[in-house]
Amino acid sequence: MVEGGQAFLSAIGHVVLIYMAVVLAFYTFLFVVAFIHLRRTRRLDDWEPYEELLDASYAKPISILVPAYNEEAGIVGSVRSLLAIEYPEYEVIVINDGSTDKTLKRLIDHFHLKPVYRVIRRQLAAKEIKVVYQSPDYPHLFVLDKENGGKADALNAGINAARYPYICSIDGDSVLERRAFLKVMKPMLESDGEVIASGGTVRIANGCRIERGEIVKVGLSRRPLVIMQTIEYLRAFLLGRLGLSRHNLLLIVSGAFGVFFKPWVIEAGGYTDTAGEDMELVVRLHRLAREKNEEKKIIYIPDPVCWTEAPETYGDLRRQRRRWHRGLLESLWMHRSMLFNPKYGSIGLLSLPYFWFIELLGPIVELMGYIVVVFSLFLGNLYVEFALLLLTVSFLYGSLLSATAVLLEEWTERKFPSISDLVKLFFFALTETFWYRPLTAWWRCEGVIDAVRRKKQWGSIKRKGVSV
Amino acid sequence: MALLVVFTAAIALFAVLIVLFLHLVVRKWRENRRQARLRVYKERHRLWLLRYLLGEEEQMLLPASPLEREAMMELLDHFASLLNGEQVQERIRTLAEMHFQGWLHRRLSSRHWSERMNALFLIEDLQVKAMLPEMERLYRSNRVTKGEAAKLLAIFAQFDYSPVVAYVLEPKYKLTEFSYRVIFGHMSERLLRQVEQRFDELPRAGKCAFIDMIGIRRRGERSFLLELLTSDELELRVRALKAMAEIGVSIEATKLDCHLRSPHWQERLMAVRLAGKCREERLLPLLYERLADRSFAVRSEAAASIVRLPGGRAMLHKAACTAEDRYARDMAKQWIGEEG
Repeated sequence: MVEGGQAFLSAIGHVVLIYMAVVLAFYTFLFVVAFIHLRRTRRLDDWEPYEELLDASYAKPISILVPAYNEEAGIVGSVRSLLAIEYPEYEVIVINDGSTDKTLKRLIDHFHLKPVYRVIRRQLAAKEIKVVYQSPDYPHLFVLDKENGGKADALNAGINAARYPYICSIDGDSVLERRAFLKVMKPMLESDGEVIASGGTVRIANGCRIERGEIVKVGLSRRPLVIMQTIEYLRAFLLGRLGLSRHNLLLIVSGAFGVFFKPWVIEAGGYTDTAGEDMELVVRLHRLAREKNEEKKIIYIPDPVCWTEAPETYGDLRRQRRRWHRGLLESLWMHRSMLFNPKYGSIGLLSLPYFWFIELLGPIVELMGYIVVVFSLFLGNLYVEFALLLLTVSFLYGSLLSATAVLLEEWTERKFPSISDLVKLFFFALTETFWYRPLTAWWRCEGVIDAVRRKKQWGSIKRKGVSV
Repeated sequence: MALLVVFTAAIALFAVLIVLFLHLVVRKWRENRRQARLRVYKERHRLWLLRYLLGEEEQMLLPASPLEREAMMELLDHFASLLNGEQVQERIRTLAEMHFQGWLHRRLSSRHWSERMNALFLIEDLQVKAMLPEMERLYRSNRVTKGEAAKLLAIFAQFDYSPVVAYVLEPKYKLTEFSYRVIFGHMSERLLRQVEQRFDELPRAGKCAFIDMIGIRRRGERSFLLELLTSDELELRVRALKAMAEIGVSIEATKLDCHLRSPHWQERLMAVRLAGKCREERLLPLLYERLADRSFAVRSEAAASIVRLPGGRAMLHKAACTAEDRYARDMAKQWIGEEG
């Protein structure tokens, strides 16, 4: 009996080991791709390439959609920051998704909103819009007050009301750089319609100094939990997304910041009610392009252009990770027929397998790894060596890769001005394997369990409001 | 054995990372210090340079070190975007040509793409026309990339450099419509006329951008645009209508009618927009029909155009109450609300 158990443990341990080695190799490949791209552009002037787009005759107008559900703390600040962005022509559409707090009242009071009559074209199914408000002070600010229907429903209502050919969805708790749209729209405009969606890097706002909806000084939070998330974002965006974007394999245009070409979004059916509606939409866009046999691209730019408030407590972070992972599983499950389907080209053969086997299964395998390590240490003798081996590979896979991402950031973007921030980031990254990764792996596994049980809710975290 | 190998690999990697980390920390420390010195230099010389550019100061201070040269260039670049006036721009250009040509030359021949691009941006901002032969050489070279080629053509256009006409007709890399727009946007009337004479030789993206540019720059090209309306290509007709709407070229109702009834909504949309600019009452009944168009965009544009025409508001009021088509009623209602 005991022997059988040990053999089982050893088998699992080997599976974990092989898995981690394969993943490590894949990440190394992505790292090299990101490295080559960043090496080319790292000395490029930060602003000059975008100057031309300020001329209204080149830039195409954008409708910015801000779905809001009980966001009274931060909503005015984020709308104000949106009204100050540098872009020739845009409208801001806030969709109040039946909030039960004072979100709508705050908006009406602050922007002196007045009800207006506006014909809404129902191109996508969405819950009824009760009133459309417009601000006399900012004629390009609209607020839709609608019945509660979830985030995807709110976004679809916003798309129906949008007048412009490009749409962008922004979470109520994000702060954009003033030039964010110029940067993200550039590849779309330059490609003459070949690029149908474009995302920008998202960074964590906690610890930065924000005044009147603008990042004034980039800084690092003092809370270890937030520092770890900062590192995680660096790693995900610099290593993962940039690498995937170079080969048009990108599946996520972050929910926090992405611009889409509206006709394609409508044709793809808009957002659907899943926990990860942004990713699901991107999968459908890829799918549509392949089915129509059109060469369309979804890309990602490495410039940090959007700052978002990260959860600061274990409880909030846990809720967020559960929701994210549930969303990932739901989207992948919805499009399972694309997996290994040659009809969908590299998306079906490379990108989706990556998301299934690395992003989705990753935490489960990691968790198994940690369990094996703990058991092996108890069993002693031969198994201690194996546990150490597993731990070392985990260290390479978690801590060292993250530390590499921190260094890559410092080598290229250099967004953190102080040396102490760099030192903190580097050393915290090295601790990742020993506490942060097991924690998040467990939470993400919980997300899988949730998906199986099909829990549905907006899953909001406690906001302090990012703007002061 | 496996443990030993992996452990050694991890240690080795760890060591490499630590070395890189230390290197980057030192680099950051030096860079922060350099930036601080740059700031000090710029602060100290900002006012003096400004006075020199405005002609209030005759003595020119020469940069003594690479750091000072960099600071000076940043200041000049800043002033170039801030100060208008030919005399000031001329002084900036002369200064740049006198002191930075060697540096720009080295940057243009750098093997780093981003350094060459930055040099091009600087040449553009400071209007260093003396660099034209170098840029020409870069454009003709084999290593020039797509991004550089587009930027070079835009600069050639800005500098009113005649060979650019031949280059846009037969570009080295296929140019996007966006690139064409930027290039045409910078061209002088003289160059644009040369392109116009060879319009048919332009690739399709170039043709579209060229017509757009007529509208954007409000060039009086009535007969050229009217001729385009007879084109077989839908896209060219749409662009021509759009340009005419932008300039406000008036056109008789009879000529516009066929475009208002086109099977393509894009053409109807632009024709409706143009009708709104013609201020001709005879167009009202035609526009009224479009209020019930199949396409939402056309309906919306039709209402906007009707409001602009004499007698239009009254017609919309009537439509809001009595139009048979529900879409037409809704659209009329929205526009009366917006105007009121």
